[in-house]
Amino acid sequence: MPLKYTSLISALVILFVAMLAWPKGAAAATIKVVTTTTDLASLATTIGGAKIEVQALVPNGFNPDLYSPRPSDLFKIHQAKLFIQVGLGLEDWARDLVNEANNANLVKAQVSSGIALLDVLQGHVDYSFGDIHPFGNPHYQLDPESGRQMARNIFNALVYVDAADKDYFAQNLATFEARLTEAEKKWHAEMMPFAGRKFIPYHESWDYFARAFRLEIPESIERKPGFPPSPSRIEEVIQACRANGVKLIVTEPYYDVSIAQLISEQAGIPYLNLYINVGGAAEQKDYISTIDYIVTQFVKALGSHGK
Amino acid sequence: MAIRNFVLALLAMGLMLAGAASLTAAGDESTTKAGGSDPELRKELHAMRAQMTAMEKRMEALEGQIAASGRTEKGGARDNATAASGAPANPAGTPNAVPPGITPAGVPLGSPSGMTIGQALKTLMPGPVSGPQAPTLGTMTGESAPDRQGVIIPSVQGVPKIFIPDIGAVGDFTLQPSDHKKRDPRYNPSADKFNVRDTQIILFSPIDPYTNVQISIDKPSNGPFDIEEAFVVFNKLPYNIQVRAGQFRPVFGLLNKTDTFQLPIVNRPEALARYITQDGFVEPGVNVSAYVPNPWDAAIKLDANLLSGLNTFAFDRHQGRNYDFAYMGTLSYSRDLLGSGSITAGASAAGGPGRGGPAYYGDPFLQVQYAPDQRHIWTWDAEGLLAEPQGVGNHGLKRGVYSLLDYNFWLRYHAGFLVDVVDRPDVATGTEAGFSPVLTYFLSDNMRLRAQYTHTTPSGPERSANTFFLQATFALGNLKPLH
Repeated sequence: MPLKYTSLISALVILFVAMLAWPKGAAAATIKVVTTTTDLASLATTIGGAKIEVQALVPNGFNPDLYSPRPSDLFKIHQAKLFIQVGLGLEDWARDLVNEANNANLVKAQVSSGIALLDVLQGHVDYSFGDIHPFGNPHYQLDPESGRQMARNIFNALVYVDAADKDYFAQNLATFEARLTEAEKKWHAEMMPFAGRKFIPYHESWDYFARAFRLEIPESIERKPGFPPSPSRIEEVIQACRANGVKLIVTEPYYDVSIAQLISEQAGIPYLNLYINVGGAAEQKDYISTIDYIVTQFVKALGSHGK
Repeated sequence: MAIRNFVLALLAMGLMLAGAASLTAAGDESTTKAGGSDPELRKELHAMRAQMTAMEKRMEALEGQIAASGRTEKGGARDNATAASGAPANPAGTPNAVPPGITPAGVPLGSPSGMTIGQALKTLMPGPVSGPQAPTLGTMTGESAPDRQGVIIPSVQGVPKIFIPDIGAVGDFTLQPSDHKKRDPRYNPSADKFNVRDTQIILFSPIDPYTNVQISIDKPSNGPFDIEEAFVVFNKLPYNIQVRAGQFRPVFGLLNKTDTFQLPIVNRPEALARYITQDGFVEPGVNVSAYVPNPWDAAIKLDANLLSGLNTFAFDRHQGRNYDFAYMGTLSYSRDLLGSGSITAGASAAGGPGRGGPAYYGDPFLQVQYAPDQRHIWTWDAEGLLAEPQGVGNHGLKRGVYSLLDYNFWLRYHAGFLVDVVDRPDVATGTEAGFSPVLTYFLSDNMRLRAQYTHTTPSGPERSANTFFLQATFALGNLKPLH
């Protein structure tokens, strides 16, 4: 039996008419916000409170740099009023999503504004440098002061789309900043004895954390960002650990943890395997608890390995 | 606070230098007037220079102290007071004020988003430059460049990337030796050799606040340069409808929108290729797509196309007055599955002029993705094709179906298995079945290597065939990323 394409056209026309005629529901009580990472979702929830409904595209425990969007992500952005991203090339996949989401009214916010960025490159940049982010290292969420600025930028974005609730958002922001300030005092007190200690991360994800807590990173396990180390590179890192008095190896679970383990064993120093985003570990429930968990693990690891 | 102090220090230093310069000039003048023999003036000048040097050192020390204590200050009472007053660093009190980092609705998302041309120009002015090596921690920060808002556009010196389209490039190289006999009609001598199967240059840019343009210039191995795709996309239309016009890959089933080099296997499955060619539908026409409002708030998307029907395999656009256009439509549904997975289901249908009358195609499809974590992602694609290409021997309804299971492990590796069954279009009855294990390795985001083996068993007297594939593909830029 032939597939009658006149029937197909009729069906499409009916669907289009139904779509245009479908009554719009009562104005949504909350603003739909889509974020790329769970950190941004946590901060947006903290500032937006009951006035917004937040969805993160990247699932818990996933690396946003390596995320492959799902078809269902398009619809989330289609429904959103505000889209928040880290920027700096961390979510290169986001542009196509936004362009294809059929949402002409979407406001896009990048929360890196006002943050003291590291590793900003100028001049000639090409892929021979590895999987770099020439606009700046995008892992700035690991500096609590960046977290403060991210929250302020999210506040600005929320006020931009919902000026009527500015006071509500401002109150939430003030509460968050007060909590963050208190937490920072604790973190700095805990990390102070380890100022100047050296650690080697797998990827260049920890530069901002090191800056915030005055730790030193002599080099990374990856010779070039995004590329697994060769056996000779692993040997180099082991030698560098011994030569430079490195106290700790740090990796994230989506990288090859066995390499960090090997270097740790060979160099005789501990290693940490930590998620750097909200929701990675059970203890990392929101932004502050995420940093708190990381600091606690660093303190334990550095404290267990004498000067 | 650290920034303010730094600026004040710079101002103070500038004033002192200006003062010292005038003093030096005055001193020189005095010296000239005095015939170069006034030891007191010289002594005074030396003393002032020494004092200035000492002050400079003191300022440097102060800056160091400020930088060291800056972080503590930032979290201090001053910032709390700012936040409590509801006026953070970048106040956005009115809807018209666009805070830094915000890209308002209707403005395309580029990189970096939210940057104005003025801000971009500022970033291109002479400033601190670091080479490919990462700068020392803490030296290359927004604090040293407060007006940059933390974003610097990379570019060749003196060539700002403003109004220049995004550019992508693709190269796809294959080697496909098989054990077909040379007298076998299926034997393709060029496939036995290294083959630059496809090269493309892709350009993308917004051309005004309402329209994006993409152009793909293509050089297939068996033909001259041509324009594979050239289309405009209007994505600021009422009811969030998106309209695409030009030559493009319409949505048809799971894979048609995907370029051949982007496929998760070397070639398009025979279940599709036997009826719509290896390249799939690439058609001039108009496309309209929109999400369908529904009571369940489900992601139901409708995609409709009015096309020229250039695919001479599937259509014959020169026949029949009533069938000059081809029509194509897809209805799909997608949702998250088990947290980090997803499911997509839908159906496409197409109709157009065939050689002896209208030709019809239907294509139900399903994709399920299960991702317990990022190092173990399972994707199952299944798609069927129902084809009634009138006039090609008038063999009636033909069917094809494939199933592809892909397992992405250790981030960079994919192992896949394809089962591909299709009715042969050239005979009344008869099928061809193939199975293909595939191994893919991503050397980087931009480079992919693949090995595939395919065993094909046709019904009838023809012998089965074994083909081995090697494929190397690069894709620069993210306009057509590798999958």
